[in-house]
Amino acid sequence: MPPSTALRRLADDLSARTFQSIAQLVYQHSRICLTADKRLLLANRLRARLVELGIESFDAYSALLASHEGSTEIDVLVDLVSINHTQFFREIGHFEYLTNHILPTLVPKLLATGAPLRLWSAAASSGEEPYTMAMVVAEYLREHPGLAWQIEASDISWRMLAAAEQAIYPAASVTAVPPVLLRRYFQRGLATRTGSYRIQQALRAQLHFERINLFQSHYPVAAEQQVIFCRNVMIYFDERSRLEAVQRLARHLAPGGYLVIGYSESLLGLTHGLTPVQQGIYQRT
Amino acid sequence: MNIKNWSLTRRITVGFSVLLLIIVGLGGFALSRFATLTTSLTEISHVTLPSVSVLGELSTEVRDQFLMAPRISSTLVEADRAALQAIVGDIEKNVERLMQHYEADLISNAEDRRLFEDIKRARTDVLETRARMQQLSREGKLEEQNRMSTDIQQPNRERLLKTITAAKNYNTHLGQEAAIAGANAAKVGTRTFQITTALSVLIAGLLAWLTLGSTRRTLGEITSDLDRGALQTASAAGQVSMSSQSLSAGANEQAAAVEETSASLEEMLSMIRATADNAQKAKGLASEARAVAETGLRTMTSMLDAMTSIGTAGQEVGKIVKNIDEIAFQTNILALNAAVEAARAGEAGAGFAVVADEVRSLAQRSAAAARETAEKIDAAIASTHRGRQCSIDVERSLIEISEKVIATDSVVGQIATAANEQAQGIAQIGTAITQIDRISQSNSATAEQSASAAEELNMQAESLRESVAKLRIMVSHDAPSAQMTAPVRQKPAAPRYSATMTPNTNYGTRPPAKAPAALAGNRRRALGSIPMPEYRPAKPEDDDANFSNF
Repeated sequence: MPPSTALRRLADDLSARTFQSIAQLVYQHSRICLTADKRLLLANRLRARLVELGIESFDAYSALLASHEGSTEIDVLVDLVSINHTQFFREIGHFEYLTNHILPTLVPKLLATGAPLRLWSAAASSGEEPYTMAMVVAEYLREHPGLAWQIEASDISWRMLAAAEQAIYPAASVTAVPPVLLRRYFQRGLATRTGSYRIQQALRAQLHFERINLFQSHYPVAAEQQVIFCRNVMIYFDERSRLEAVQRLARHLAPGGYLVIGYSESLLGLTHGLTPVQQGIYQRT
Repeated sequence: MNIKNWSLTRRITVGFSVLLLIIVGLGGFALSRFATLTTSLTEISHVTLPSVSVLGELSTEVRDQFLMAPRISSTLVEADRAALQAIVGDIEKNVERLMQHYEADLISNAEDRRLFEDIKRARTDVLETRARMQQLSREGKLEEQNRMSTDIQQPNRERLLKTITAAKNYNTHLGQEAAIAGANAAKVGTRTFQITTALSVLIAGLLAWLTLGSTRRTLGEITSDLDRGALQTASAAGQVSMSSQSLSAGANEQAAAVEETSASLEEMLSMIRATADNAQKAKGLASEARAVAETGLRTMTSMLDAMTSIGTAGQEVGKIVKNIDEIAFQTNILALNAAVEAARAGEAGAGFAVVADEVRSLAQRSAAAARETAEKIDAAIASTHRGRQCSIDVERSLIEISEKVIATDSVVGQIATAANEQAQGIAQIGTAITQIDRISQSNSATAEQSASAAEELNMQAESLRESVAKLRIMVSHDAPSAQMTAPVRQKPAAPRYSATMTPNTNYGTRPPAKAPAALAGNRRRALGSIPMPEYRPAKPEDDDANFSNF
């Protein structure tokens, strides 16, 4: 069968019933809520996968997911459905607050106790956020050397984690990075990589990558994180999941630690025991 | 008549027809030459050679016979002579047979016949002379016989031999002539054949050149056009494929951004709705506060009245105290007078003096108490005044609170309205975003489809080029053109998307499922490099050569 025919066939609408059952699976495994208006989105994201598997209809794919052999396919499904929109220095106010308030508060204390500085980017996506955090911390520590630090970068998507770990970005991605930082922390691509930029090894070494589903039973990260970034993630969850995620993340904060959520997010109406200190920034007291 | 406009069938038919005609002509000519040659050969083998042979034999036989004749005459024994005569008779018979054979079968022409007639005549003479000689011998005329033998028979015999020789020579000559004629015919035939063959080859070559040359030229042009077309198609398809892929990637990225925006908007919408709700609640609370303030105001008014009454009562109490004070003063004076009178009374008035003193002290205490009371009352009155003033302030404050609450109520109302409007606005943006979402999703799908279609087009162009290559080989037996051997698609120098789907790091739990192996090829064909599950190459260090610090 020629590929175009396959695609034409796949362009047929994903039936509402099949959409529901797939959306249900996605919700069960990731808590990502796919409302009925996301049918086209789901169809788009799955189409190429179906061609790849040689499956000719969404119904057959749904059947595969339901079957015993399909259990590993669910990971792929969640991977494909997760939204991975991110930028360097996105919602820059949070990074300014990190430089101007959080680090000046935390660093002297940590230097005094000799404990390391731990930050966690809980929705690292393709790495722009954790690398931005790393740049900000590294910049601050130029003036305050001697502190051990590590950034945990986790995401639900294997695909995105692999990209994050590779740390190669097109020129369009790094326009938001100040030129000084670009020169200090990036490498230029040559030959076949011309036009690309890569994070330098020294900075990459500060990051540790882990595939974490925020709803898995146990987070394989150090318990006392000073700063957790979990931005623009909870917008995809329903309130129950949001509450669960926030409470679990809050429990992973060190006393006095900070939870950072997206500008457009709010923990309004959730019981979390954190004190809001700034737009989207909450502190464990 | 332009040969270029002829169809291939017509060209081939005409070419082959002309060649066929040439072949037939050549064959006819060769056949006629062969016929001539055959005639000559037949003549030599069937007539001339046997003639010569028979004549030779005849000559030998006749010569033998002649040599026998003297031996017969000289033989005295009858028996021997009879034997010799028997041999001569055999020879005679043989000569007769040869003569008959020659006459019947081997006379080739008039001259030959004349010569044969000469032989026959000479023989007849010999035979007649011999008969006469035998007659003479029988008659015993041996001398006459001897003379006849010497004078007549001998010349006869020589004549016979001569005629035979003449005939033999003539036939030999004929044979030679026939041989020469045959040789000539063969020579002419060979030469003519050579010339006509050369001519035929030339004509055939010319025809082939004309037919094939123009055909080949035309086909070559077509092949080149096709080749070029296929190359252009492949290149165009490659470009379409590439731009479709980047379009697809862009559309995917856009779709992701739109998704995130849409989700953020929903979140903001819910936040604003919460704000509106809270503003609504605040409005209710403000109303309640206003009611409470109004109640307070009313209470304050009655309290103010009470204060006024307290003040009035205090003033009246002050008046009473003043009276009491005056009474105490007069009582004091009276006690003083009583003390003077008691002193005047002496001893008898001593007790009275004590009473008077007591009264005086009571009067003084009364006065002091009255003064104290007066002070207290003054203080109470002052307090009342102050209280009144405070009450007035409180009233003013309450009025102000009431006013502020009213203002707050209005502001909160405005907030609620604004929040509702914002919610509506955001809902509208949400609708727009949903549309954008749909469009970007549709773009993404379309881009993927065009990428796939371009891929297919590319494949078709490649298969077309393969066909063209075959055609080219058939037309010109050329090796495929240099362009043909170059890959149509420009493969990226480094793989952008690795074939394997296993991520490079062990993330603790199981890795995502691989696509079944059997599908990999199909997928590669189907998707080209559409950036779907793009599990990138393993070690970042592998790329070290491709990156440098600033």
